Amino acid sequence: MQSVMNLKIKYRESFRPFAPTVLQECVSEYFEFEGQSPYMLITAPVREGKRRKLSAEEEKLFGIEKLKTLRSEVPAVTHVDYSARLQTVSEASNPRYHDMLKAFYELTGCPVIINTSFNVRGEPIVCTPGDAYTCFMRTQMDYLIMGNYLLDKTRQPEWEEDFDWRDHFEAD
Amino acid sequence: MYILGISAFYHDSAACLVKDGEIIAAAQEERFTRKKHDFSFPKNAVKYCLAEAGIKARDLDYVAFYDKPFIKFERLVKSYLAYVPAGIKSFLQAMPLWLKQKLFLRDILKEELAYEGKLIFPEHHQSHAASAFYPSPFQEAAILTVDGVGEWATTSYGVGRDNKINLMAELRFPHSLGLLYSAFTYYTGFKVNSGEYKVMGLAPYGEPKYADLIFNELMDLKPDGSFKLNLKYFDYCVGLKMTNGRFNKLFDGPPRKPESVVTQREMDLARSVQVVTEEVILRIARHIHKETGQKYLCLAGGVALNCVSNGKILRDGPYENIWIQPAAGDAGGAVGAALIVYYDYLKNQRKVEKKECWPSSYLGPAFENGQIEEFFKSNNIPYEELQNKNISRRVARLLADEKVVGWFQGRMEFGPGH
Repeated sequence: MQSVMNLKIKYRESFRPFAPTVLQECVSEYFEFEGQSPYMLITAPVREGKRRKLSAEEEKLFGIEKLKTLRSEVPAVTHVDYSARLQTVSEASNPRYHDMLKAFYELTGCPVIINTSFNVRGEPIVCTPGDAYTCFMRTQMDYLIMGNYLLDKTRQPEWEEDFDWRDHFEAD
Repeated sequence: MYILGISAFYHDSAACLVKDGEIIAAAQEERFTRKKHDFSFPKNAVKYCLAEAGIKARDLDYVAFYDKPFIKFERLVKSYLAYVPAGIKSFLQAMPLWLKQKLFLRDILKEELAYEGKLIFPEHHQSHAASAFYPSPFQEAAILTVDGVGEWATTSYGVGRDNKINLMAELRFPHSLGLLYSAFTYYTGFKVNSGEYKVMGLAPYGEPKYADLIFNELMDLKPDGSFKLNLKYFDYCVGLKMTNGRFNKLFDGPPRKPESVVTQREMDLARSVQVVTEEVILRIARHIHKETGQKYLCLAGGVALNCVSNGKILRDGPYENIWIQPAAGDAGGAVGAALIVYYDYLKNQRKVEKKECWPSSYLGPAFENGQIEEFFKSNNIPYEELQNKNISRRVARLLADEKVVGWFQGRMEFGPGH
């Protein structure tokens, strides 16, 4: 998932890890962390019990090859050293996002999702509905939820641009 | 009472509006101009902040400007990297422009905003520390600011108590942890000033093979975390690049060419400088604890965005809790400048009652359903309207089906985006 997200959505280097959003009330169940980390500014180790034991062969993998192993129950956000850059979300800090995570938890039994900023490599984070729609159409994002409106990529008119937007943003 | 904080002409220009001590709006100019790290006068961000409060510039009581006393270094690095060998020339050209803009800030404010009221330039280190302490959930705490690239005091610490900040010591340019990290950012083929977090992300793939070499050759580190860099390896004071031939020889090769394949060597270099950074920060954090006896620590500055070392401080350090200013760079400076006017200059009381003082970082523009629908209609964009109660389940279902969903809700966040 990490490699796919990096190349399809963000158009950035595949070694770069993704960060998880986790329900505040579940954070210590998955990570060695008790407090709040609302801004993704603290990393913490994935709990021992949530890690997956690597085979002898997998242990030998080197450098970028390490990406190919599933290291935990939440593999896409577990970095190769078992760390994760946490964002905790509580009812108070972001009610709508918290509510959605709770629904995801009820559906799947997992209180953790990938969260990455809404932009592509070299682009400032989107600001207006126009910025958001453009970014949505340029990438392989499947859906966009803006306010109370849901956009389905398969129903959108074809996106046409007379230049390659990848040249538009200077690589960071 | 309204105070507008501004940072501009340096790296990430931003504006922030404080109403009676509370931050009610803040945004970086790049979000409006769509130019990453835009450093021009943040007129769009200012306009947004004023509109959010429903006021005009003439209603402002003060404008506080985040001053950068040591512009020279980053300009040197930037212009050298970009325009070698015409670097010197572009540097000399950039300098008077900046000086001019600073001197004429009053004119700019008048011209852009029709503002002719009080303008304050708080002391630089104080505003930096202010951005770490005043919005924190602590009535009293130790403060550590570790600057990124290009400022005069590179590391400073002190204590914040109520509405007062007392800075106790600082490490000075060029002996800077931010610069050391940036030197390796350059050497491993990433962009100085924005590629540092890539080095951090790359580190876990490597082994700290070069950590001892860094400790032994590049720096003289004391038990209290203070250090001197061995300047014969760095070119950032006089040369055209971050590192020089001696550095390349020491680490056995030239810098990686940007966008070329990342090899195990870069991973090992990244891990090594990360390990060194963590060790230095941890020593400093322990030293400050010994000196101040404070239970809590507030952090700000570019290096405070190194979330790996933050995690280390929290787990292995002596503090009960830490708080990190999320807008750690220049954007945070706009916040610090405004708050220092409110608390230090105007001597307003500061009482921490709520557990969360920073009003979350959702401080930017939001769009109402009506505005969004209007946008769809005028652009013939097909959409489906959901009821409030159905949004969570519907989106959760999509995610469970492994769809990638863009989430555009509420106010835009203030702070760095990765």
